[in-house]
Amino acid sequence: MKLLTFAHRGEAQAFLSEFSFKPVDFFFDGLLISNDYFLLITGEGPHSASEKTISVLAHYSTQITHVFNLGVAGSLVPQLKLHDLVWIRTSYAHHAEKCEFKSFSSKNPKAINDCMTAFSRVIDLEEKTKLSHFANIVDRELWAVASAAHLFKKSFNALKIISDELTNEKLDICQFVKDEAPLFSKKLLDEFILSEKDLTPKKALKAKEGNDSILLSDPLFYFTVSQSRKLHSTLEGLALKGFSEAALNNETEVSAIKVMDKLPKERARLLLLHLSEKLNPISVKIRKSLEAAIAPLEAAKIQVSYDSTFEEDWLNINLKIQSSRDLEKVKNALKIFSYEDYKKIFDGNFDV
Amino acid sequence: MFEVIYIEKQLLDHPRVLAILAKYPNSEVKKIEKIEDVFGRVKKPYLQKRTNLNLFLGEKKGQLVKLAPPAYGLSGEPHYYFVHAYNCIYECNYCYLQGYFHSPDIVLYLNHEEIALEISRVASLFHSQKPSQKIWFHAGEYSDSLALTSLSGELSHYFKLFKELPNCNLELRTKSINIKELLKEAPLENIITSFSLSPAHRIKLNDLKTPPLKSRLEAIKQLHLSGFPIGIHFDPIIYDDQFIESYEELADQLIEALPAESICYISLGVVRFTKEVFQKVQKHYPDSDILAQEFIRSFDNKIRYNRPMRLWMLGKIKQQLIDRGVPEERIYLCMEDSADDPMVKSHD
Repeated sequence: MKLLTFAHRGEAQAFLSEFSFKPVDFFFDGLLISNDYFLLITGEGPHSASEKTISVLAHYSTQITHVFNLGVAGSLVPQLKLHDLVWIRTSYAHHAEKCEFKSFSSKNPKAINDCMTAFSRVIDLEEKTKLSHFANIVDRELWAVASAAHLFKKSFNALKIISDELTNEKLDICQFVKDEAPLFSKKLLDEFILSEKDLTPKKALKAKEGNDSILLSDPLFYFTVSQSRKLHSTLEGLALKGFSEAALNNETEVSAIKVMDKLPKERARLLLLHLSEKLNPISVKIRKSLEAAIAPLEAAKIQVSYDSTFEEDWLNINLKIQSSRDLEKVKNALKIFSYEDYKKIFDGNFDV
Repeated sequence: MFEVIYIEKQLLDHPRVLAILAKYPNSEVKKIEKIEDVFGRVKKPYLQKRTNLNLFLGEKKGQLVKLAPPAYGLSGEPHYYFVHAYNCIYECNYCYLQGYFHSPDIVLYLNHEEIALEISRVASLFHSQKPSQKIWFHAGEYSDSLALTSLSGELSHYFKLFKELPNCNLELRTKSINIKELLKEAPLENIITSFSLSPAHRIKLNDLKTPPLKSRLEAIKQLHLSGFPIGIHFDPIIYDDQFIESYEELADQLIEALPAESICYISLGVVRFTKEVFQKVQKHYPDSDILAQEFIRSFDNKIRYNRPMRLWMLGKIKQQLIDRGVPEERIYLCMEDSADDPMVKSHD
């Protein structure tokens, strides 16, 4: 569900009529729910907007997928006039004479204007000019709402309507906004409804996780937790190289692994090996070269380990000697083993 | 191209500024006290450069010429860089500039005379102690050296300066084919234009909004025929399934445009990132095939391919170049650390 946030009820009135909202019994007034949306009246200013948005997101974090801020804003540039509807690209904030460094961006491709959330009302032209270096419009809440959305890893969107051009004219702007609120709200609603189709998130072609993964949910394989993670990251890499999981699942090599007379755990290991080889053929060659280099040691039952990232060329050996015969075997293996050849692999000398 | 042009107030009547404004009559102009009052004061998303790129014009203050880290460029010679611009009009998806300045907007510093004077002072100080040693100066540490020269107009200052500094080299590093301003100057053997090249398909995939390989090679050829010394960077080298074939082809194409013996130097560097830049790449380009490969945190904490792989890649390309007649002593491998290989030079 989407959380729609407004500073004042007046800005929200067309939405309240359109979507049959009902009040929610919450810690404070101003939270409502309909079939598809939560609606929150945050009150004016960043502090109130922040507190209330965070509270709602914390309580309904699993239900809310997206945060929307709507309402009136002032224009900082001559191009944006009264009643213009403005989608916000990036939200900035200005507080105590300084800009907040953090910014938050919506993913709305229609958005080409930035908004500065001012912690205090902008009342003079000098202040307007200063802020206009960073954004085209100014409001009092967006940055706080966007910051809360970011904290809870929810995407956000913002739609503003220009209610004030911040000129020198003497006008009771608060009264004007109150009087015009029904019209502002209706315009916001019409644009919001139009945009709802466009803003439906399109699913990117990504490797599927958990039960959505064809290979992970195949009973012919058994993956441990770390193998599941490895499978996911490998499939992600292969997806970037253009291999879909469905296509990989239909490959002859994968089908062959599936019918092997082995335990599901072993089949999973072989599948991972095959997919890794497809993703990183060079790393597999390196590993095979290293395995060949240390084979004489392993033949003598010497346990060998090396840097799994291949960054350092050390070799760690562990051995157990229980007889003179064991000792001879180890001595022979160490004679055959060439550290120089082993090191050459780390310096990029392996056959491809 | 530029939505807003911010100009430091003392430059409003500067002839270069007026020339730039004449080129962009539709850009909004805003007068500012100094660039730092606006540029980088808020975190402007990097990819916003696609839809909203602004230009800042001002004067560089503070240290105008900086000593590069100890192992930078060709080994054994001191390297300095000077900053006349921040950010780039191109969008290479591996670039360290993404997020570096907290704003992708372009900054051009126009006090070239002051920068030139400082270069001269640094060179003279150095040569008073080591008169015969070459010094390198680099432009374009934070920008492309040629892409905006028609706007920034610094080349004539540097050609004039380096003509008087025969013991100093200047490297202009670029992916641009904007050689118009360069061709107005008489070539100097100590001003080397160096082009970054990758196989054609990798340029399409990674060097977004840059000229294609064919055009870069044409620019190289034209400059070479006009007598300008040329350096080459195969950097960053990115692995894919066509790695060997595509670099064979690139080497052939390069030699066709620029005879092997005419290459001043060629540097090879495998793709690497700081942790922060790598995170930016993941964020900005999650679908890029760069991310398909396995990376590790390497000896200097940079994110790279594993050591055998990157040394194998460097070795393969180096051999391809040697096979085509590039003198071995002109090939150097950057950002690597292998004390056993005398050809491996550090570059950081």
